Amino acid sequence: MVDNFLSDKPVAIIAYGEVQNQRRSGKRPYEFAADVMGQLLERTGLKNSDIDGMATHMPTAEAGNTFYTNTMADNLGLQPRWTQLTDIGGCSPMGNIARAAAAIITEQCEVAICLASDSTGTTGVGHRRLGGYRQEFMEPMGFQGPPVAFGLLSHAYDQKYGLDLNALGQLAVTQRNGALVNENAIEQFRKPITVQDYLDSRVIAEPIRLLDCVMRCDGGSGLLITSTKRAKSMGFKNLVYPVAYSEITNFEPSDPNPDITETGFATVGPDVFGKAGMGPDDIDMFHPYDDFLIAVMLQMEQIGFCNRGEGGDFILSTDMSPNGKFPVNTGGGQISAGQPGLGGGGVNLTEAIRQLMGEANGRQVEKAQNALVTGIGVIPYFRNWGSSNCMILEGS
Amino acid sequence: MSDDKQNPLPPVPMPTQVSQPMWDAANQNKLFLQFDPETNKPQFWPRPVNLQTGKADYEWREVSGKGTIYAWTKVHVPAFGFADRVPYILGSIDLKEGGRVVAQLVNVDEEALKPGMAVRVCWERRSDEINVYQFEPDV
Repeated sequence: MVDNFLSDKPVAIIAYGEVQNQRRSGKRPYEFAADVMGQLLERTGLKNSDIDGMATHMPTAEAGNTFYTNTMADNLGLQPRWTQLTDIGGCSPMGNIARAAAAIITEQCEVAICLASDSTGTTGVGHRRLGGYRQEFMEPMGFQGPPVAFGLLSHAYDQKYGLDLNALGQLAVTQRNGALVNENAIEQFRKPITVQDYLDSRVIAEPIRLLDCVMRCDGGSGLLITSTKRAKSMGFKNLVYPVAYSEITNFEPSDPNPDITETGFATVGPDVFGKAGMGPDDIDMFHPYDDFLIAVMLQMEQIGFCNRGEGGDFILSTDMSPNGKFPVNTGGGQISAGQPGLGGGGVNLTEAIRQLMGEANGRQVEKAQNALVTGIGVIPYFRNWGSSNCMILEGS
Repeated sequence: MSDDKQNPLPPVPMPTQVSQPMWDAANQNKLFLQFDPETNKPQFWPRPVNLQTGKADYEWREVSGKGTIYAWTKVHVPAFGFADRVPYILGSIDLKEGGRVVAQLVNVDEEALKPGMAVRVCWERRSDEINVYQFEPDV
């Protein structure tokens, strides 16, 4: 039995909030966070003074603000006794659940708000300074952005296993169908697409096409988490429990010539199952971080839903819609709902919580008792992505 | 009629104290990598530590600049400064002495590109101070 501090369900998510993703809102992350907190307070009847813990992530739009935590607290009228700023990219929103759980269990706070909001659609990314290798060894050599890294990754996968673009197209269509019934999806994406549309979309960095990629936008999500004991004493009944978590950062730093088709999910996937005492067959829904379609397929393989090299066949032979055998990113994922900057991990996470609370109108997965949610962070120097995390959530 | 509007030029790398020896060597058309003296494992890009030990006990060594293609991508939407080169090919190159470098593949017949194809380093004069590494077929 693997040690797991979440196995006895010591903490519970009591509410979630999310705003609709927008292309260019002109707003800042604080406004979205305020909207999300308003939803959380409305749902729970709590006041902002009842919140004594706050976890955020570093949003692109506020890159350069070295006092982001203080600024956010002051914008929202919060006086936390525990704070956390997480900056592992798309792993941050879910990573904050684990960090808040630890803070609650160790009595550093009682009710924590976990916020994910960004407005990268409005600000773009040109103002941020990533330092180190990106500006010295990548951009001057022609690194245009993540599509280049995923172009190289796709090519390496194609050489090793063969890459089935029709399977990725099928995944694009399945996720888009989710966005059609997700009123928080970005408005531009709420129209159907076909596999042919995917194949015909503009090539960015071969074989990566426009419809392989997320689109940066503005938006936000968040949740309230407290001890299960307190949640029940306050009368909350529709709870979602984090029951297992695993995270890894800077995967394989010391191998000078790594197989870039391998990712940290080969570590955290089996680890999270071990902690939960579960296996891939026990999972009712999969909500994987989706910056690129091939990332979803690699996760299916390396977490263990299918074998390596068989992701394409698995996608083509499995109904991944909400009514299917293996529902995936039922709200469209980020690729079809939009990526609100570095708060993007909140899109997949919020959808999983919404499903487990039975509130996914038009796309509810019947009888779903649990969900596996993932996060991905950072493009390193042409290895695979830097951070990977997995969490298993259970409904009540 | 001449068009005065010019696309921006590609960025010039800014050396750090750690990477300076590599860029100094590049100015003499030499490729230098950091190595772990024990295992002879190289590392690229230059770090403040030897990745095998976590200490600053790395050593700089010149490498042959020869290698093979691990993967490539043909880029249609250019990086900043690369609009005049589009489409261009970025190659992920496994160096003969170990280590992997991603750089522009030049002087290459696209039809002849193959994984494992032999390539060698060549240099682009990017500024008065900086040579940028590229790779070309080793024929």
